[in-house]
Amino acid sequence: MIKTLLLTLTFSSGLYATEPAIDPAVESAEKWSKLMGLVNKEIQTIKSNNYSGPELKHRLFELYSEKIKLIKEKENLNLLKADPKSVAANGKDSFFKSSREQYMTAQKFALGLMADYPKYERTSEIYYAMAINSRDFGTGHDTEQFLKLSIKFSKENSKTMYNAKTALAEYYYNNKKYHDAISYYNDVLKTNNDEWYGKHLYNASWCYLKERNFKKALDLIKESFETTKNKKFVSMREQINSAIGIFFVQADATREGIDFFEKNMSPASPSLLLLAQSSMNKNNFSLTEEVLKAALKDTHKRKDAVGEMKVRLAQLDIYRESKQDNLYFETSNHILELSKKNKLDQDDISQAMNKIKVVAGFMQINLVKDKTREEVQYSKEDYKKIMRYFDILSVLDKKNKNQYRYYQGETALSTHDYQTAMKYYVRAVMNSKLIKDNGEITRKSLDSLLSTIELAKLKQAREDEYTIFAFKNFVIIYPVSDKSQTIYQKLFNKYFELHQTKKALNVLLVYRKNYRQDTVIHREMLTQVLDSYIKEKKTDKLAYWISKIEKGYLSFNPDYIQNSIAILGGLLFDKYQAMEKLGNYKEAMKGYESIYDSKQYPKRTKAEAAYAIATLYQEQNKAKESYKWLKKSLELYDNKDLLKITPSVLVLAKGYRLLQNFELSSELANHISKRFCDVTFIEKDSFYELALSNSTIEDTETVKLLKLEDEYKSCKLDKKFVEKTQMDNFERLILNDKMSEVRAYFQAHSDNDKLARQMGRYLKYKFWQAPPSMKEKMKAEINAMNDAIPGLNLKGNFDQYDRVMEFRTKVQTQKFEFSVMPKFDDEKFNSEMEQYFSIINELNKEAISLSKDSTPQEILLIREVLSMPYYSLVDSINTYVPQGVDSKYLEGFKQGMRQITESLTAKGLQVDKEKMAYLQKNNFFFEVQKHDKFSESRSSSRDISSKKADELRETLNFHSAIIFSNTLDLIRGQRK
Amino acid sequence: MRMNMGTKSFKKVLLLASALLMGCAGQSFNKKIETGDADLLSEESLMRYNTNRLEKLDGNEKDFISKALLACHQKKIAKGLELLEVEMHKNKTNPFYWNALGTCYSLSKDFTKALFYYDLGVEALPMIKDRNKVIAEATIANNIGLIHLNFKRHTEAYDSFKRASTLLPEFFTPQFNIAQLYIEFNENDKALEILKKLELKNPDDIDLLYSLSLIYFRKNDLENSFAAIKRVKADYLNRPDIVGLYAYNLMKKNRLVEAREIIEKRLYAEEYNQRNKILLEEINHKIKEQSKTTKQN
Repeated sequence: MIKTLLLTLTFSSGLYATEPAIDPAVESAEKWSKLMGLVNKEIQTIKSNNYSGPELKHRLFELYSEKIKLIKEKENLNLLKADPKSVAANGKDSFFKSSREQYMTAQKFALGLMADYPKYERTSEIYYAMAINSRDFGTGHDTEQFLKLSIKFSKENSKTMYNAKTALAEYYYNNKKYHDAISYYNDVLKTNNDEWYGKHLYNASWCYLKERNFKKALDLIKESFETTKNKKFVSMREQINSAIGIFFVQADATREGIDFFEKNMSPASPSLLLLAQSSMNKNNFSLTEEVLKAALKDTHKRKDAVGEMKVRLAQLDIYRESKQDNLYFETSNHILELSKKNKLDQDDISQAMNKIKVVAGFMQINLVKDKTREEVQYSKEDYKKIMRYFDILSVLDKKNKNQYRYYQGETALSTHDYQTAMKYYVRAVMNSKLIKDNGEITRKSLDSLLSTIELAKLKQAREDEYTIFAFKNFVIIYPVSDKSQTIYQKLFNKYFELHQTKKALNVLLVYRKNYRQDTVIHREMLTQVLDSYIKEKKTDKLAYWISKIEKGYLSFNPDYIQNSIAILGGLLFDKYQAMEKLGNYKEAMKGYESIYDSKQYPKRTKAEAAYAIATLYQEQNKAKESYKWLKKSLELYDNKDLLKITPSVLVLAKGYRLLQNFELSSELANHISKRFCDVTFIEKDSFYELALSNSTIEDTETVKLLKLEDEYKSCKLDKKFVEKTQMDNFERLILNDKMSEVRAYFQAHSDNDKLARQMGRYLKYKFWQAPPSMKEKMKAEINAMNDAIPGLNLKGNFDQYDRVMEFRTKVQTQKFEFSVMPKFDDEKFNSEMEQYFSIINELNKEAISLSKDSTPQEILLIREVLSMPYYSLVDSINTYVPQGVDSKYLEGFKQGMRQITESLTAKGLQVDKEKMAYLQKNNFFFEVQKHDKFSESRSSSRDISSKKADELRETLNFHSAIIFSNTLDLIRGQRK
Repeated sequence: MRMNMGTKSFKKVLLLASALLMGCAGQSFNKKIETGDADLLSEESLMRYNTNRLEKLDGNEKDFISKALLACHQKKIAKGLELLEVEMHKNKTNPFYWNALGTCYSLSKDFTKALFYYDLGVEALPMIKDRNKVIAEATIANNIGLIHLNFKRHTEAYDSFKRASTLLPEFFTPQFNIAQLYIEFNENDKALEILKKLELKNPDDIDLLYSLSLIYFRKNDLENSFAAIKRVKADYLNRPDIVGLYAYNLMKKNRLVEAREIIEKRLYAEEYNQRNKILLEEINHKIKEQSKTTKQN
C-alpha cells in the first residue's frame, strides 16, 4: 500500500518536473516546416493543376523564390550548429548547396518564363524579383543588370520602378559608387511617400559627403534628421546622431553642430564627443576644445558624472594626440576628483587608468635621459607630474596601488632621490601587505628598498628603521624564499644590535618554524639572546628559556645548560645575597623562598634557593629551620650537582654541631655518606668521619658506633682511613673513660694493631689507677684478655710488678726481733743489730737492682716500702728492754739506742724524700694514683680506740681535689 | 620531627636529672659561699657562688656569655645553652664563647661535649690577640683541667692548671686548683706554698682556710691547723668536711665537749657522716677516759 503511494507521488512529481518549456528552436523548426509545407503544397497544387499561363508561373517563381529563402534559412541554422572542424574541412559553401540549387532553379525558371512570355506585363516585377534573389542569394553580379531591366520594363511612376531605383541607389551606395547612387537617389527623393524616406536622405547625404559636396550632404542629413520627427517615416535618428557631427565638421559648421546638438540632443555630450572626434580629425584643436567644453557643459548641466567621465576620456585622447600635456594632466586630476565623488562606469575608469598609465610610464622612461651620470638631470615638473599620475592611478586602481607606489619609488630612484624612493617602496610594501600580495611587484619593492638603503647614506637610526622594515616584511611576505634564510639572520642581528631582544627572539622563532634544519644557527642565536638576558639580569626570561633548553629545545650541550642554570642561580641570588650583606636576612630569605616556590625555575635553581635559606637559617643559629630547608634542597638536587657542593654541605653539617645539634649534623652526614656510598668524592671521608665522631660525642655508646660503621662497610672507604677513624673513635671512648665501652669497641676491632697498642696502654693506665685491692683482680682480667688478643702486647707485663710486690711483701713482713734473755747479752744483741743492719742494706740493694727494670709506678711501690725497715727496726729497738741490768746500765743503753734510732729514722725519711724527688724528676707525680685511704678505712672494722693518734689522723683523711677545684668563668675586674 | 622533639625532651630530662642530683649533693655538702668577702675567687669563678649571690648577678649581666654562664651555674642549663646557641655564628671565632659552651656542658656532666667545645675554643685562639688571647687560653686550659680531673687524669689536669697559672699568674683559680691537686697527693708543702700566697689576697676564704688547716693537720702542726680553721666564719663551721677537722682540732685541744657538740649538731651525707661518726666515737671515748681519770683522781 505504501509502496504504491510512493510510486504515485514520485510519478506525480515527475510529471510536474518534466513538463517541457517551449523550445524556440523547436517552435521555429515547426514554423519552418509548416511554411515549407504550405509552399510545397501550393507549388504542388499549381503543378498538379497543369499550370499554364504566366500568372501561375509567375506565382510559381515567387514560390520558388520563397523556397530559396526557407532553404537558406535552414542552411544557416545547420551551419551554426555544425562542428567548426567540419565547416573548415568542407567549406561554408557545402552548407548552401540546396539553396543555390533552388536559386538556380528559380532564376532559370524566371528566365524561361520571360522567354515563354516576352510580353508578359509584369516582367519588370520578375526582373526586380530576380535582382533581389541575385542580391540576397546569388553572387550579386547580376543584381545591377536585373534592376536596370526592371526599370526598363517598369511603367513610369510605378511602384516597381520606385523600388528598383531605390534598390539600385542602395546597390551603388553599398558598392561605394556614390555618384551613380546620387543620380538614382535624386529620383527616389522626389517623393516622400516612402516610409524609408529618412533613410534615403541619410544615404544620399553620405553619398554627397563622399563626393565632397559637404553643404549638400549637411542639408540632406539635417533633412533626414527632420524626418525623425515624423512618425510616418522610419527613424534614422541613431545613425544620424552618430554621423552628423562629421557632416557639420566637413561643412565647416562645427559651431552650428554644437548648437544643433545642444538643441536637439539630450544628452548632447555623446554626440558632441563624436563631433569633437570629427573636429579633431580635421586637426582643429581650438574648435575641438570648444566642442569638448560644450560636452562638459552638457554633462555638468545634467549632473551626469558618467557622461563627464566619457568627455574626460575623450579629452585624454584628444589632449594626448594634440600633445596638450598640461591639459592632459589637468584632466587626469579631474578624473581623479570625479572618481572620488561619483560612482563611475568601471570600463571608463579602466580606460582612464590605461590611458594615464601609458602616459605616466612613457614620461617615467623619458624622465632621465642619461642615467649613467652621477648628477642626473631631469624636469622637476615632469617628475611631479609622474608622481601625481601614479597617485591618481593608485586611487583609480586601488587593487594595484602597490604597483604604483613601486613605480613612484622607481621614479624617485631614477632621480637619485633615495629617501623619497624608500618612502614609496615602503608604501608599496605596506599596500602589498594589505592586499596580501606576494607577487613580483612586492618582491621588487623590497629588493629595491634594500638596495636603496645602502645608497641613501642615512643617519644610523633611520637606516636601521628602514633596514628592519625591509627585512621584517621580507620574511613576513616570503617566509621561505631564496633569500629568506639570510634575511632572518640579518634581521635577528639587527634587532640584537639595537638591543631589541624580544623582537630578535621572535625572529628566531619564525626562522625556526620555517627552517627547522638550521638548528646550529638557531642555537647560536638563542645563545646570544640568553647571554643578553644574563647581561641584563632578566632572570624570568632566562628561566623560561633554560627550562625549554633543559627539555631538549635546540639540542643544547648539557654543559651549556648546566652553566646557564648556574648563571641563572647566580643572577637570582645576587639580589638576595646583596640583602644578606646588608643584614636584611628576612627579605633575603623571602626572596630565596619565592625562587623555591616558583614553578618557572629549574629544579637545580630551586634546590640552590632552598640551600641558601638553609645556610641563612644556620647563620641565624636556627639549626632546625635550617635543616628543614636543607632537606627540601637535598630532595631537589640531583646527585651530580649535589656532589659539587659537598664541601659546603660539610660546613653546614659541622655547623649544626656548633649549634649543639649533633643529631642533625649526624643525619646530614649520614644522608650524604649513604647517598654517595658508591661514589668517590673528596669530602667522602670527612662526612664519614663526622658521622662517627658525632656518634662518639653524642652517644658514647659502642653499640651505636659499631652499627654505624657496619652501615658504611660497603662504601668503598680506604682501609687505612677506616683504621684511622677507628683509632680516633677509640681514643674518644678512652677519653670518656668507660671501660666497658672501650673494651667492647676494641673487641670489635681487635684486628687493628694500633688499637691493640692503645688498648694495652689504656689497660695499664686503668691497672695503675685501680686501688691496690682491685689490682690483682684486674691483673687476672688483663692477662686473660692478652691471652685472647696477643696484639695487646701485655705478655709478661706483670712479671716485674709481681717481683716488686713480692719484694714489698718481703719488706713489709720483715721482722726485727731481738732475743730476750734472763741476763742481757751484750754481744748477742750487737750481733743481731748488725744482722738487721745487714738485712736493711740487702733490701736496699735488692730495691736498687729491682728498680732498674721497673716502671715509675713500680719504682714508687718499691720506694714506698723502702723506709719501712728503718722505722720497723727503730720500733724494735725502742721497745727492747734489756733484762737483768741495773738502772744505770739501762739508762746508758737507752741513750746509746736513741742515737741509733735517730740515725735510722733520718735514713728512713731520706728514703722517702728520694722517692718524691724521683717522681718529680721524671714528671711522673700524678701518674701514680694514690688510692683513697679513706675508702679503705671505711671498710675496715678496726677498733679505733686502740689506734694511735696519727693513725686516726690518717684514717680521717681530710682531702679532696675534685670538689674544691674551680671553673674559671670570669675575667678579673669584670665583676665587683 | 617527633624524633627531634623526643630528643629535646630527653635532653631536658637529663639536664633536669643532673640538676636534681647536684641539688641532692648540695644538701649533704654545700661548698657554696654566701658572701664575696669569704670568697677568694669571687671575681674569677662562679663555682662557689651560692644561690643568692647568683641571683643577685642575674639581671646585672650585660653580655650573653656571662648570662649563659650564670644560667648554667644556676643549673638552668637549657637556658644557658639556648642563650649561647642564638649567638653562635657571631661568635664562631670567639674562644670565650666556646669556653662558656664547654663549661655549661661540663656543669651538666656531659664531659665529652664539653671537651669538644673547649677544643673549638682552643682552635679559635689564633683569632684573637694580646691579653684577651692569654686570658682565653688560660680560662680554657683551667676548665679542661677540671674535666681531666673528673676522669682522674691527674697529670693532664695538673698540666692544664699549670698552663693556666703560667699564662695568668695573677689569677687565683688555677693556683688554687693546683693547690688542691697537691693536697690530693699529699704534697702538703707545695700546696702550702701556694695557699700562703693566696691567703694574703683573701685571708677569709673558707676553702683556703680549710685547706691550710688540713695541710697543718697532716703535718701534725695542730697549732697552725687550729689557728687556720678557727678563722673560718662560724656559718661555715657546720660544713661536713670543716666540722670534722674543726672537731678534731678541738679534741686535740682537749675541748672535747665543744668538739662533741659541734659534730652532733647535724647529719651529713654518708661519706662525711661515716668520718664524723668515727671522730665522734673517738671524742666520746676520750670524754669517757677523762671522766674515769677524774673519778679516779
